[in-house]
Amino acid sequence: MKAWIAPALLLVLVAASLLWGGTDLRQLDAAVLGLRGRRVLAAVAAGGALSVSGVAMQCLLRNPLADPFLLGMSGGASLGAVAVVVAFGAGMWVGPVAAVGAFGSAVLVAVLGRSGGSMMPATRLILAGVALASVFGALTTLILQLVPDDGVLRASLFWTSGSLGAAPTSWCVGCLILGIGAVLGLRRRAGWMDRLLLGHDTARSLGVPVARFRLVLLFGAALLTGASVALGGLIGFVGLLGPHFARLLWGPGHRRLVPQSAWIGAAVLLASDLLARTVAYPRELSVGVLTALLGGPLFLFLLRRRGYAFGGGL
Amino acid sequence: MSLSCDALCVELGGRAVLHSLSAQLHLGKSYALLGPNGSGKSTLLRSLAGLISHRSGAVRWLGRPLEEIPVGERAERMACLFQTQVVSFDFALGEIVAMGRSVSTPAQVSGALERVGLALFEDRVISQCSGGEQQRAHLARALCTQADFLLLDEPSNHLDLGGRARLQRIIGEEVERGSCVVVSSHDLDLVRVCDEVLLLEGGRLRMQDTPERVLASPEFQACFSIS
Repeated sequence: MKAWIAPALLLVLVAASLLWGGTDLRQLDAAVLGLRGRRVLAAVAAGGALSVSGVAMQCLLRNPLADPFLLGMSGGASLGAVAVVVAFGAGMWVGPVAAVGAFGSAVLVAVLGRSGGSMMPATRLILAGVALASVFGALTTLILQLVPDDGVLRASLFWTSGSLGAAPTSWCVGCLILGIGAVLGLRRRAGWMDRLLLGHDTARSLGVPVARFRLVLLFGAALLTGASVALGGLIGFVGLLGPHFARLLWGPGHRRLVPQSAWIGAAVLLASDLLARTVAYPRELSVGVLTALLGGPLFLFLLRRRGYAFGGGL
Repeated sequence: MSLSCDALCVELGGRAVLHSLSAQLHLGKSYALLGPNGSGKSTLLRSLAGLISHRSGAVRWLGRPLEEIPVGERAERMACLFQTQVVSFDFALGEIVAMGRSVSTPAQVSGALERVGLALFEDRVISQCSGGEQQRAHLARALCTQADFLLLDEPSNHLDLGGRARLQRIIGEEVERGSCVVVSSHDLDLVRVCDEVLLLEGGRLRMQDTPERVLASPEFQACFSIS
């Protein structure tokens, strides 16, 4: 499969997102284009970041089912967001506090998942993540039950199902720079990522500093997830769909997989956002609902497709 | 020129697995680690590869303490094949073999696959291969490194009769090339083609000698409770 196909698709979607919307084409002006441009930037940055985070998590855990929110990060993000909404009301700081919640849960998982020496067995990491997610989920529900305010509930629901409308341009640029840095950095270490999938002992015998590199993958994924959460809340499926679709088209080698996943994640989120703000215009739907509605059937298509075995053994 | 361990003591999960084990393994020779289950064969291999830390004693590569050798240099000079080789994603065999070197040429990859009898399997993905084919692909990955030291843990697992004969031939070729091959195995045909056998029991070295002498010794019979 040609490497330029995904970037070309993204370019088409960028053009469509800038031109297509509630406004008549003849009434397009700089202000409308500016607003849409910021939104395009947010979708590209968050979608790319989520997808690359998914690749890193799948490599870290050697598990094709892993996604950016597996290790309790969504629970940490939700708790942070709901706490801010309750304390200060819905505002621009909900996202960053949620990002801190996501990153904090990754740090907790890393600490809790350590076994004896410096290694973090994948099973321990996943179980620690599941346990943390339960605790965070219970705390979030508790807060919402103790503060039965409709405004808080609505703001929390809208945030937890994802929306790219409120992110300031500077945050979008920050997330984009982080995403580009992650793609370049991981692509440089693509050989280490490939070797990690042969097993930890084999990877170490092949010169990979396994313990250190897995920590880099964990915190890198947490940073990317946190940044995307700050931009658009909890947006599911992109981090699972992007890596698998890229793997289906370009194979499991990370040298191609990392950049192609980023393009595909960006394209999926941009297409979802375009639909979210146009299908029920003037009402706007949550982008997370659209990623699930678009991503679900695509994922089922992958499941049905012969010749793509996800992780080989599944 | 050798790989050696001096009074090596290794603990795993608080349990002593190797007790003051000393041995010297030279380039241009092949060694078989033989012993009952749990006698410490795999632990010794992993210690020699520098994958587990030891409580006391030392592992030396060519006279240098293992800890002082950079990870990259170790990867170039030593290749390992471990017992459990589960590849998490669907790599093609050619891609797996290429991982044996930091930079591999297509000729090195196809050459290694040819040596294990998988010349036509370069593009086949690992999930579509049988257990024996997967084992041979991992062996090819280790061969592709062209290392001085080749450490193989149960390399004849899943191999059919032809695969086992080919493995024995490969070990001979590697020794001829000047490598030191260390094999942990319960396959006595494979043990017999090695130059020396290290008989382990309960984490201790019971005997080091030629295969003929070890297999005929009372120590061997006592180790495996053969009367």
